[in-house]
Amino acid sequence: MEDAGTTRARKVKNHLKDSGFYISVFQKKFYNKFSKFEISDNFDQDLYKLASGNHHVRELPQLLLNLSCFKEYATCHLIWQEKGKPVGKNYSYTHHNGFDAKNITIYKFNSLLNYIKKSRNKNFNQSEIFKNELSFVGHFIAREFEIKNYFVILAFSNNSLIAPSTQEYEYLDFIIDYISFIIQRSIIFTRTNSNKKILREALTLTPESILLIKDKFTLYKNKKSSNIKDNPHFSQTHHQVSFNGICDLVFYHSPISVSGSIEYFHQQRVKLLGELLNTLQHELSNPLFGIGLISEILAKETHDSFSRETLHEITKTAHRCQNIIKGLSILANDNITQQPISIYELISEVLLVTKSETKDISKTIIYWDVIHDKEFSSDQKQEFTIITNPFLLTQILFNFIINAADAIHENSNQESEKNIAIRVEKHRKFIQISVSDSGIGLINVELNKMFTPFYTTKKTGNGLGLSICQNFAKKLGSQIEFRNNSPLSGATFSVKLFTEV
Amino acid sequence: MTKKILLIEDEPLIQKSLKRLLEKKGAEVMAESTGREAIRLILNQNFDLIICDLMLQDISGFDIIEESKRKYSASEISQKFKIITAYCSPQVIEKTKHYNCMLEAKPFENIELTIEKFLSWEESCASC
Repeated sequence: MEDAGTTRARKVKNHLKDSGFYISVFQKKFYNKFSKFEISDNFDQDLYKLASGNHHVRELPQLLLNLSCFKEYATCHLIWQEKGKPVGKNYSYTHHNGFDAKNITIYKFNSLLNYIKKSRNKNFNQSEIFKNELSFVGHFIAREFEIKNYFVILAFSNNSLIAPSTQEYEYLDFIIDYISFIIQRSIIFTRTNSNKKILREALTLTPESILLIKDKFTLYKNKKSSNIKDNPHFSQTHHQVSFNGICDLVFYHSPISVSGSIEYFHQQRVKLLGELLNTLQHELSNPLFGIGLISEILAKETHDSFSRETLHEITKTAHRCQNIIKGLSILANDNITQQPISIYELISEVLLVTKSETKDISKTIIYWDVIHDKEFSSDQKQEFTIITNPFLLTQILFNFIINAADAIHENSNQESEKNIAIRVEKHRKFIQISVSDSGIGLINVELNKMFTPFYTTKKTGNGLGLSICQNFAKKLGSQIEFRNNSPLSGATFSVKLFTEV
Repeated sequence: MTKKILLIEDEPLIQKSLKRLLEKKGAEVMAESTGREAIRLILNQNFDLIICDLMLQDISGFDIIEESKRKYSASEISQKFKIITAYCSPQVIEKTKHYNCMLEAKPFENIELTIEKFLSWEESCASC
């Protein structure tokens, strides 16, 4: 019964054989042809060891230089580029300067590649060309290969001004076949390793917890947080899949991770929307400006009163369109964090955006001064500013109004008044914004589930609005509150914004 | 003296409006939509004023200014070029300052005022 080491060695040897590397053949060919070249007894062993080891590509220049067949050379460059990528890597090793790694652009790489390909005698003189890429002095020999989906350039120099002999080229040619095999193995190893790294990192970033379990052991978990199995929700919210008969793969959705990833995707959608709005804003503003300008000019020049009036209307319409677009700016700018904003403008904007859903519903807005127990005058309400995140607050109010409109439309009672009342109350330490509707109210609603993701009583609701907005409210240092308006119909949702810490 | 103006703007209605308003003030206006043609005009003819939009179909207004350096000095550029743009980012403001040119953001708040600003110019150029 052979031991594990021997088994492994045998496997490697067979693998090498499959690639055309027969030691005996190599020895025969080599010694016959190059008997005059002194070579250490262990040369083929060295080559063999190199082929069977797991080396990163960046280690190769040094390892190759250490092979006895290259003992005359002082510097080795190994430059590789993955097909399709704009940048490649230039690894080098010199005996007296050590290792160096640089990036190389695809343009420089291709120039070098073509230069080497086109050369007949493969004898190059460093002098002026590729000074930045190759650290050679004087002559160098080079080869290029295509291995899997990489292009590779291998170059050696003894950094002398004496050109290598023809025999030295034949020698290199001979060796290169075997070297290319070593390089291939290195590339596979390097790529697999970097793929593994990328995969591991991607797994830690997914919101779900993933476990690989075999029998009772956890082979791998992507999150540091352990004790997942102890969680009471575990049996309800996990998916288990047998993985190739080797182990079990377990996906666990924790409530936190679910709403975390929901919020993430929601944010991404809103961000995309914001970018689209921004582009739209810019693309439309120019043509609208043009329409407004020319209609104004024509109105001044025309003598026909009907044309003049109509042109004035065109100007006004163009201005109105420009204002609508400008008004969507808050939704578009999500990188604004805490800043002073006018509540009056914010509410106006939210009403503008929800205009189509609330067409048939009357809206009342009251700004109430709680301290003095009276309503704010129209000048005062315009000056109502608060420091907050307008992006988050807009979405919360938007959600309130949409929900209110839905509740009202679900109310089949034709006689009841359709009304949404927005109330902004200024207390001493906070401002409270509430949205009341005359809809069906909170009946048949599981109140403790209202803010959980995916809970909805709407026929076509996704159940995410309130849960996302509650998160936003938390970010604003607050929370969403609600109550039924009984004995009146409908419900009221509100949020407090603290003005003092 | 009749001012000779080159208007480089690719939005057709804006081009038409600005041309008409400037002509009403007595200027001679040549309007051009493409950057490359505009460069050719600048190098082959003499303009007192060049009102230039930044975002053109083919190249940017700043490219036009760079090409104009073949004919004009830095102070002539700062005097002749008036930049108009719908995209007023900090980078744009920075670059316009570098050329030391007037910058007007579209849409103009007050079109009459903007036209006046364009047309007000120093008679004496000897010290430029």
